[in-house]
Amino acid sequence: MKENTKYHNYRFLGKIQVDEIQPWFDFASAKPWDESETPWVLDNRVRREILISLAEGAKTFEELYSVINFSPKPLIISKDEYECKVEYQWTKETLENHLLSLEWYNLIKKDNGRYELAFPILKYHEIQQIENFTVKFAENWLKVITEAKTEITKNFEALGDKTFIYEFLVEKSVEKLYELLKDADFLPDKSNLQITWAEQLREIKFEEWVQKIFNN
Amino acid sequence: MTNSEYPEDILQSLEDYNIDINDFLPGHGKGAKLLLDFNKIKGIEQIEGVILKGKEIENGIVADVIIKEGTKIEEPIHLCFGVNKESGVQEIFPRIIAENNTEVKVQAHCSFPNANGLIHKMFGHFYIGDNCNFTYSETHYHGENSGALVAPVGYMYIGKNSIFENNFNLTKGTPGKVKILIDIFAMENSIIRSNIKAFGKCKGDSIRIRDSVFLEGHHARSVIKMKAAAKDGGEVLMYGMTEGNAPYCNGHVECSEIVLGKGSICRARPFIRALDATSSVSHEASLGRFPQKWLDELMAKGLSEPEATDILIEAMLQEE
Repeated sequence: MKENTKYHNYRFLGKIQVDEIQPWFDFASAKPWDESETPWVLDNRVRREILISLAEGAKTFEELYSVINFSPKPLIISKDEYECKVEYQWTKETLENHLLSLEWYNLIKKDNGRYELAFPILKYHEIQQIENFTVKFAENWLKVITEAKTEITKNFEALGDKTFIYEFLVEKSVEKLYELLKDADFLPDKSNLQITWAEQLREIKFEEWVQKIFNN
Repeated sequence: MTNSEYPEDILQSLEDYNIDINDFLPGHGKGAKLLLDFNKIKGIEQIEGVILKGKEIENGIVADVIIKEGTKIEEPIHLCFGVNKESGVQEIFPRIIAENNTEVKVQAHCSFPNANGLIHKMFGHFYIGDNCNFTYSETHYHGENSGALVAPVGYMYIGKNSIFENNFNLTKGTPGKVKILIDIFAMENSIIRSNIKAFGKCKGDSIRIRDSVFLEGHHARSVIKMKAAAKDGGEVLMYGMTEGNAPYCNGHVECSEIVLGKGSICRARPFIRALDATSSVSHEASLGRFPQKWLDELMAKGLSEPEATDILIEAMLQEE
């Protein structure tokens, strides 16, 4: 476990897309009551470290065991002044328990004796590509919404603050979009679609922040 | 350094928690100390076996506290993060490394007596080595205007055969908005005791604390005790989490919360998980009013119900 991972190299996200509210769902969130968006298994930093390690490539149990350990470093005291002797090593039994939890939640899978991630990771350059499309989509939406502004205002006159309606509209439109995308075979045709992915943090921006705070 | 060189109301808030203010001032008392006035380091004092180094950054400080191997000190290391101003942002990045075979107490105090739009954030890391006995006590005072937003995050790693005690106390003044996250990782044969006390006194107070212990080593043991009260529209959420990930580990979460007055909300969310077939994790929680019998006994001595309740709250929050 690398010391610099304290800032989370990856951001884990998950999304449950529900087609329609069903009686056994949590009515506060309109989602299955027993599943939160990001599985609880990610609460534990050790399991996050395992996923981060597997994001670099598939690993055997022994390879994972050799990385799930660390020795802390001070923030501003230099190596010449002080070298830390404290070390933490996770045992094989504990590591196995963590791997079983991650496997149970379909976050990792074991193939030919090697563990690998069972969800996609968006790398930095891929996030940039996605952002280009996101801007394009959003601009088109803005155009459609602006054109419909008069009609929207007229239809929802009873509502005091009209700005709220756009929030509802966007949320409902996204739900509808999922439905249409499924019909058009862009998404798997499954109800309660659950996706988990991790987004590699924007490294450059992050490194700048670390530099500014700790190395000046 | 004399008392007059440091804001008096910050020192006063220390006294309210029965802490000797002289122990915090450099040049007085025997312990190592780091004294902050908003984002300026006002004093720093090292002692043998303890390296203390701080650096000012744009909105706060970065600090290293190193306790060298084998150091055993009776006098606590004092850390004072005071802000006398009404508003502003204070960001603290402390890192404490206690090497193997050390015995030490750290007394931290976060005092914001005039807070009215003040933001205090902390991102702390504690690394406690093997065979240590480490106590970390943190007291908070956020003034009387519910004007602070306090969001500390602490990651604590406790080595083999070590005893770690964490005491967090936010019972004086009006807390404001408080969001605390503590993650403690307990290695082989370590013992963790985490005691959280908080009191939300009015509508502007919202205290949400997540205290988690991850039992990562064989035979690691832990007890989380969370005690809180919410009064006159205050809100308290105590989220005590214990995860048994290693063979023969044992953890317990205990939560007691008292709700008083209309509009007050107390919530508890104990979340326990056993991931090893030989682990054992338990929880208990009680929320609401004090048992009527306790109130009756005090009222029989001539106290009114609110007076009796105040005494019981004080007793509960002072209890070890």
